[in-house]
Amino acid sequence: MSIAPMQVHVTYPEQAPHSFWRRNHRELMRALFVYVGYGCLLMNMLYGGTLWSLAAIGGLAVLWITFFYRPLVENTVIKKITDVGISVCLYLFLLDGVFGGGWSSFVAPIVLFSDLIVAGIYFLAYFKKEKRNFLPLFELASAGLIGIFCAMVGWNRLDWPLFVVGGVSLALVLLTIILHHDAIRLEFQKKIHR
Amino acid sequence: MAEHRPWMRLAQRLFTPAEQTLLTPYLCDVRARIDLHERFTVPLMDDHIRALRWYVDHGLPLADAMKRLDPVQLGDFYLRERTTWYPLDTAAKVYPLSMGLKRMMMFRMSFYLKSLVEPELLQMALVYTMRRFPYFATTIKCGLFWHYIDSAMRRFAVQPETKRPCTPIRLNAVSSPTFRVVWYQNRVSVEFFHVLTDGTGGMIFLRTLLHTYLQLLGNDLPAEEGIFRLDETPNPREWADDFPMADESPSPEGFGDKTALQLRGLPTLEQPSRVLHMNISTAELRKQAKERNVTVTTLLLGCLMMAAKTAAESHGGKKKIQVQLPANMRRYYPSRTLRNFSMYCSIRLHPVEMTSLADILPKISAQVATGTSKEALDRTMTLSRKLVRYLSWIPLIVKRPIAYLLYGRLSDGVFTTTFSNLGEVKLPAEMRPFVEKFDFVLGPPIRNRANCSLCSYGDRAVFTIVKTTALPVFENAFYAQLVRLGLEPYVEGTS
Repeated sequence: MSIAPMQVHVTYPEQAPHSFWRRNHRELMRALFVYVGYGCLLMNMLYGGTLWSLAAIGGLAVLWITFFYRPLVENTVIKKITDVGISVCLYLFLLDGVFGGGWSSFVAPIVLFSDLIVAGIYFLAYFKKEKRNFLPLFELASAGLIGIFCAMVGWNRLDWPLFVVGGVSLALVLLTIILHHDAIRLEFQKKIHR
Repeated sequence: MAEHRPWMRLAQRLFTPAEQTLLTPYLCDVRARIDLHERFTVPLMDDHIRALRWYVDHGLPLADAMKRLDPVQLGDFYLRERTTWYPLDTAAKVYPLSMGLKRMMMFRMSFYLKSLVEPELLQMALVYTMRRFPYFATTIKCGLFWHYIDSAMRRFAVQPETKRPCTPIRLNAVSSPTFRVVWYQNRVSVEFFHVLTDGTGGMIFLRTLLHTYLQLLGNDLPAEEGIFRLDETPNPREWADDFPMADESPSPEGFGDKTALQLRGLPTLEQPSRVLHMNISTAELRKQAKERNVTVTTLLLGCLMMAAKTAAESHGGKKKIQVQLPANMRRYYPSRTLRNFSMYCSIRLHPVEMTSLADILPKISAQVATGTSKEALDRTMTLSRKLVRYLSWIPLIVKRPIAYLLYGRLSDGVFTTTFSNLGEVKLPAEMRPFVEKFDFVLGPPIRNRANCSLCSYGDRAVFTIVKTTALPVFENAFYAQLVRLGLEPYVEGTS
């Protein structure tokens, strides 16, 4: 039995043509970053010497997070500030590890408490709008408190930046609880539900 | 100092000074019931003004139009801050973990009217309908261990349809909705992110939206079973996670399976590549199924699997054609939830044993009966609950990238395709003269090359195929199967 070919009656609107670049610009940018990273690693392995390629890859990662990365959920100002802060701190540790000097445990906490201060001021200033987005800031403040705890029990050197990190983290947590106890309690319940 | 009223500019543009005198107290009443950010308040006020203008242009006196758009219908939905939040149900927990920029578990439901859509009234219908569905007026947020959905104080807008069906929704703004309402000619479609609801819940929302829209057109219609009354208080059972309701099975199982045969063809850059709706007579379809002593689902599964055999990659090994068949758990449990409450089973046949449609129908029938039994579905549900319990202590920051990678690699690789049968859509008799048909579209799959779905309304059954490849072998083979059965599909879709 021969069957006539299927006739499709179009019932959807014509799609506006999009340029390949516009449709896929994020994937293309990501590919560019990845290939530059691979290229640096390859060259480093070919020519040897210090592991400068790791520093290059770390720098690319910081650039990506700062300018291109957008989370699929909760792409907020606070998330951006905290992500940039964390990525810069980790990059400083990486640079210290690659080039030596032992300075990162002093410098990274300075970056961390600066980040906490900026994010914290923004959060408290726009609390009504930002109260539902506090999780990244909470995670950063928790990291600060854990850091100072580790230093106080002797697992880390207790320099003044770490002391300030602990102080700022604690101040942020206490201020939030004092000023917005009920609201933050509800938000906390949401964030830690299992 | 006079309150800043940017919406009055639109009112001044669209109405005469005499009409504005009548309008001003009405708009003040509307404004008193809205306490949203200005970027939502102004468009919401504009929606009222445009709808009033539509009524006046269509012969309704302004006073009557204002009665029809009585601000009482807004309730306090846009006034009081809603603080309710909802943990994701057991099935929904995986969807945000596995989503990407271009991949999201979505589905779409549409109704087709016998006249063109009036977007001004459709917008007002959505504004009023949201009040009855506070659970849908939400946005997705990240927690420490799981995502959840949180109330969003915003205006929800209808848009003209410009993109492909089930294009991923952008969720990264602070109050991004998890569904969208689009219209095109005489069709209104609601596309849902699967975290929110399943087919049953989505259909209740769609029918209520349709009911509200038709009422705004001036028709006095009853709200019967499956349509919510807007003035009812929402019932908390509507957003309950009913997965714990299912009986605990002593032998949980159901997720592991062998890799299935996939259909041939390379996925296109734009997804979905193709959407086809095959319109069939419901009566004829039922007659063909009855003649063969099977259900409609089984008959169409048979046609689907025969078409998949034709379109599958080369087979000679052990891989089978495996079709995922969702099953509504509301058949077995007294659930009123609008959220996900379905499981799935797998229908498997090796191409070697698929000699003809008549031969495979009894085998499919047996597998459907076993697979969709309460005991089998309870086993899968028990396993889902166990998995969620085991994973609950792992932070989201660890779970998410692993789930994303695993889902990309494994995901629907254990199936050849999915076939979801929503069943018959019923409307009150008073609404039937206005509606031509319904359809139901599953979002494009990840590894599979096609997804299939079915729903019927009156004598119109619409079988939808969503393809991720341009190779037309599968849909042509399926079409041929239907023609050989004596069904005359009228095919619509994307170009």
